[in-house]
Amino acid sequence: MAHQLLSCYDLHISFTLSDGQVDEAVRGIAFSLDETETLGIVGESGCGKTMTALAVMRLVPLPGKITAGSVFFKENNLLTLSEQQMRTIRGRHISMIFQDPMTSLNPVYTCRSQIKEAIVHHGIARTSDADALIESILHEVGIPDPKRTADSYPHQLSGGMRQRVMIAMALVCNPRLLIADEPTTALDVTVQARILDLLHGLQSKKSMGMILITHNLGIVGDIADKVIVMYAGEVMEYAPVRELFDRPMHPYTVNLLETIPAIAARKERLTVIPGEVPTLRNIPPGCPFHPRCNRSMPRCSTEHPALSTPGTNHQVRCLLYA
Amino acid sequence: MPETAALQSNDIVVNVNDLCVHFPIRKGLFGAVAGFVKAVDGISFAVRHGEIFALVGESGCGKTTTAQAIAGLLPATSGSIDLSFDNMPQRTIDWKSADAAAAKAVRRRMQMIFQDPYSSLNPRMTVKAILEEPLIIHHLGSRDERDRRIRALLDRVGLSHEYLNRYPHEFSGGQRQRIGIARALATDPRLIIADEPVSALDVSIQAQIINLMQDLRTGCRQTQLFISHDLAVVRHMADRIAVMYRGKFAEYGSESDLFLHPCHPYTILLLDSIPVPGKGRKQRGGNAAEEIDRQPEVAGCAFYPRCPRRLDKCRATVPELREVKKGHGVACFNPAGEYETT
Repeated sequence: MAHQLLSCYDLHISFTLSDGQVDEAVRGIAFSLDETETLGIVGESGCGKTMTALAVMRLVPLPGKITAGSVFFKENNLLTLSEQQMRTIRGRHISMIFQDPMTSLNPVYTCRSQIKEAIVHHGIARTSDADALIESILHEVGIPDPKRTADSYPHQLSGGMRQRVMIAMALVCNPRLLIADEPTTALDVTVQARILDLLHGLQSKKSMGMILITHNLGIVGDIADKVIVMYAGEVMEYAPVRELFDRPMHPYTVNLLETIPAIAARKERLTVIPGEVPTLRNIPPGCPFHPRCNRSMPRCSTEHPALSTPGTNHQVRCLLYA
Repeated sequence: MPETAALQSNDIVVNVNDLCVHFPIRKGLFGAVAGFVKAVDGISFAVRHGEIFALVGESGCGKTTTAQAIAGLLPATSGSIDLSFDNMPQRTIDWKSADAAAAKAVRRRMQMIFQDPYSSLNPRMTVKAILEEPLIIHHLGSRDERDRRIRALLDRVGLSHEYLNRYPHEFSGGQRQRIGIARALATDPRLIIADEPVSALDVSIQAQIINLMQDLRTGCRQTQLFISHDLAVVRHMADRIAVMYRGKFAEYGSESDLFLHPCHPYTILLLDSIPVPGKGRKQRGGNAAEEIDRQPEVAGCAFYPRCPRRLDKCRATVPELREVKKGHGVACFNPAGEYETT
């Protein structure tokens, strides 16, 4: 049986703003991830998916704070470690790649020196061996001319190549967990397909766990094993990927799947989810989705549904299933 | 496209003929021209009255440049753009030499919707001022008439009248895009050029805007030039589609031609690249040379370095756009599917 790599219980993240108001960006997220699994987190902007990932890295930006919960990486609760201890984990055991490879690489250093920084910091290899290691990891992420690319500056590379350099940098220390935050959103579709293939291939080759954050349900279907659907800071549905697409339960998931124009066939008219995505300031009482839900009942506006487990592994936060 | 000659000219709203937009690359102290970036390199197409014509392609393929050249926001290097609205006789508009009055008359009938609803609305203007500005510029209506018109516009795009005196920052992305659409509709245009109008929006909001744009088409027989990189959105919206690659058309045709019988290897690659919800992992073919930067300039087909179906002659000769069937053209020596030549 696979071993548990990461488990997160009842995570809460709040932002205390200058006017004293407290906005809860993430409310009670829980999930677990086995050693070689891929967890997809999907949701729209502002739903808290990126904050959840940053919490695992302990990188939630100020004035944000993790106010409750625990994040276990193997046996260690990451939230109780000192900053010093955390620095030995970040980039070594847990790595992250970001959406925009243009702004997350430093424009004034070559790719080589940026990758070397991680190697040296974690003492993975001696400086003399670092170059060979850098070139082999660049080769592994599918860069055709590793030597030349290593000595390039980020602006000299295309978007897809930059994202490959980011992936190389994240993987050079052989982490056990890779967090990818919208890794292909800034890329063209054909390049996106290549990067997804690459991530999937590397993950099984290195048998690491992966958390993939995206707003694109197609990408989740492509490489995730299980999926969390988030809305307004909460988990709405949590299910294995096939289960989610074959038997979506939460009205939000059902509507979201219907609302996407399909490439396979032309529809007369798209199903619409009315209304707007709520901001943190005006999250509706009761179920946060009830004003936009086509199956809402009177009690949805007052009663906050708990996450239930109607089927094995398949959890849903909806009063329809309570 | 050759088919356009057969059509009655009053059915055509935009006729683009051999359009080129080249940008000079300047080098050195005195800015000597060292070469050209051929952003748009000899494309021709016609958009018929009441249809949605889509230009699709990846970043840098020239789709936005084409739209901006038609709208007169960028000067065309060569080629002609003929526009015809209402019963106006079709006329060639040369944005470089057109006099101000003629250009203004054309602009009234042609409006744009932009991708980013955050940067395309002036943050210091209220919704009312934003919607009124085009009416004032084109001297349309008295103050009362303008007021009624603005309210009607808000109704059309599904926004409440209460919003008239609010500023753009008070709105969500979807609402802002509705304001942008209302502004484009203000002067009662015949042609809407929509440049990635839904790309910046959340998934649940995208569908609302797509439906709204379709209503506008059916409601007022509006013609739309729709630019997108999202093939699923394009399939849903467009009647006819042209796939662009490096400034040229790789393939064009009707929605069913392109999605059911794609011929150009690039179109096929694009279609294969899209992850589909619930379909699981796709096996993808394709050539690994895909995203190599600084791809060598080839004398022949621009897609040659990435093409899985390339032939020897593709390296040296540029394939001409030819029709494999009426209304379905492809620029390839070795197209796939039922039109295979080998």
